[in-house]
Amino acid sequence: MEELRNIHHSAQEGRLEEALLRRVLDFARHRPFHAFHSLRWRLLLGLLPVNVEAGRHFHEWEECTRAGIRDWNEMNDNLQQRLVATDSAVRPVEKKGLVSKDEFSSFSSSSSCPDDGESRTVENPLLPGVGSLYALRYCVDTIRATAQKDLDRLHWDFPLFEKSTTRKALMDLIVNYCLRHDYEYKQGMHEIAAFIFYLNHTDSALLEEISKSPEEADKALIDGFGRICPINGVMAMTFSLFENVMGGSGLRLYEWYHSSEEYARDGIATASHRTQRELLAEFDPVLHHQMNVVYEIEGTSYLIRWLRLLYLREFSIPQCADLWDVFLSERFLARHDDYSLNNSIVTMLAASMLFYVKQDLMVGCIDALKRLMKYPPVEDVGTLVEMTIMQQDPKKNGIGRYFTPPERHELFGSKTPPPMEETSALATSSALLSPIEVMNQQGTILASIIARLELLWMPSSDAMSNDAGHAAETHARTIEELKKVRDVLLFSNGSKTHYA
Amino acid sequence: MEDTNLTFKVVIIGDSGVGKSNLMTRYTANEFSQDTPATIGVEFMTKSIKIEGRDAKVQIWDTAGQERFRAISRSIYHGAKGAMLVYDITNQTSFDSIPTWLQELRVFVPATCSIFLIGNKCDLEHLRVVKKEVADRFARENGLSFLETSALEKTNVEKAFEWLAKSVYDLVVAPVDAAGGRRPPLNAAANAKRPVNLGASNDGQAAGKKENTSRCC
Repeated sequence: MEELRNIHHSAQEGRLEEALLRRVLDFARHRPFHAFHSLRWRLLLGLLPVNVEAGRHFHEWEECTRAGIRDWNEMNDNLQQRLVATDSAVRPVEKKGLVSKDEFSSFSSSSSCPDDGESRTVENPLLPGVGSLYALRYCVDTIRATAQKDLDRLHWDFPLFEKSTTRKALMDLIVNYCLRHDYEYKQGMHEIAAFIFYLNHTDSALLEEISKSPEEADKALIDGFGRICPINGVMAMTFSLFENVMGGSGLRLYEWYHSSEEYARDGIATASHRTQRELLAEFDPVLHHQMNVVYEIEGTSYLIRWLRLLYLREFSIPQCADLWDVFLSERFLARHDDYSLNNSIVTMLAASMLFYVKQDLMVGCIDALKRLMKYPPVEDVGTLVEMTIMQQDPKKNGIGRYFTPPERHELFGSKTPPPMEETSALATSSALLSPIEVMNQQGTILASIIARLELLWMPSSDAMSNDAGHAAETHARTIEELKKVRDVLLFSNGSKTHYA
Repeated sequence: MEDTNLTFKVVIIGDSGVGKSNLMTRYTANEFSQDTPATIGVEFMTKSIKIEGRDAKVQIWDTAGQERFRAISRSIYHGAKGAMLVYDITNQTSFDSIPTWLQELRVFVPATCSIFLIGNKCDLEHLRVVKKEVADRFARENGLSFLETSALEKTNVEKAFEWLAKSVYDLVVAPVDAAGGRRPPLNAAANAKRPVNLGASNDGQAAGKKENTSRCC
């Protein structure tokens, strides 16, 4: 509910964009799985307008939702009707020059099936004409034959996926998407679709559940969002999100599935090579050399799965929801500028992940490959996000402005440095203090940083429990805090005071 | 005789859904799962074995059945000493794809690569559509060894991999040893031994199998 209240109030006040980004990118707060990720993503992808006139958000979002449901129903109903028509067709349309081997070819009566206006180019001259219903049936059957194997092997441990209606719904989505965009089905698309479907369904079902016994004060809020995330609109919302995650106006994930050239500039092979050869070198030249020169590991061997599935097999569902929040926030901030998936946080995250398990990767080639094939569970993806954003946006011109890194004070027990909020508050209020007080305050912060660094080098019961990953986390966070101290000392009002 | 441990790479290829991943996990970890998800990219596992009294490690690379980019194929096939071409005996299309897989494989692997044709899911005899004789003939015509397996019932899985390992040893390792460490010409190595056709009906190993006479449709 807090999520809905936050969205509602900030939209009412006309400041939704800023509030949404800060909330979505806040890894210091607890991040509940039921944070209405599907709603966030629709906003970040522009499926629901963010720059909505103050106070009119419910009306406009409801209109967008209704339009989306109408479009999906029309498209899917039209497809199903045409498929039924193929079953009752007298005979398929025969194009000039094509010889039909259909069993109905001996019929002399002419076909009454209408052609549609599809402009798809026929590459195989032996295939039926593009406009015919038979061609449609052939395309659908081809998509279904390959996608069905993968959907049958989708064994996510949720009751939702045991329903045959769920598999049919996902199949309909995949078929409609491939036909509309003239793409073949590619393995992995089924999991992207399933993940989006699951989150849409979870969010809509949650709203429906809450609406049965709402707090009086929240009733209008729940009613409003109930029409924006309706349970009977889950397929429509899923299709819209899937189409945008895959498509050019969104993440452009299709480039990693459907590039026609092997080394297309934005293809999966190029992305894999770039990640392991260029981005990793930026992170850690030693690890880069080990992976590329000593081991000669091909990036495609593990990155195809990491990247095409946007890490769905590497992290838990809730963690992936949080990661996608970051990916789509970056996309939102890019607006109409050139957005390149190959040069995004998605690929930089892979380099961070390699660095995070450097200790395992340095042991030997076989152990490294095993680790790449089965990435270890990560307690808090916020640490990986932090490393990634610092590398991607070190000057905080873009996404770094809105990102709040996770707290890790519990790692150091009684020597906990000040909590982030307190540190930020101190930094913010420094202008009100005298120059000497500012210097003393920053000196205190430096002392806590030094104490933390000493812990990493001096054995103690706490320090022994740390691993290389924690060292990397501490390193990243320490740099961040040192930058803040630098900024305060160099740029605050206090620095302008001259001493006698 | 070299004392170094042997390590060699084996790739498993074939259409999506024929059982490649379960063949790998059955052999390396003795696990079969009805819940195996579609392979995206590649999967990798290793198994330590003894061959001719020596310790050896087999690296097994399981591939996605839908991947067609050569740039990606090249990296997967690079260095492979053995390959399994897998089809599903209940799926004619998967057998019809074998020539395409074989053609692609031969672009990337050396002539000394040992290639096995594997007809998986032989536990589903009642659903069989690919006759053993047809596959056997294809294997002989193309110089492949042939074996039918069931990853589900663990039939011939161990045997397939160990014969493949033995074949790799005989074709690649033994000639090097025999030549005192000097690597023989590829042509000589390629001709050193014809692949054993493990699927032949006259093979003693298969004597216990129930004979299936052809029936007219």
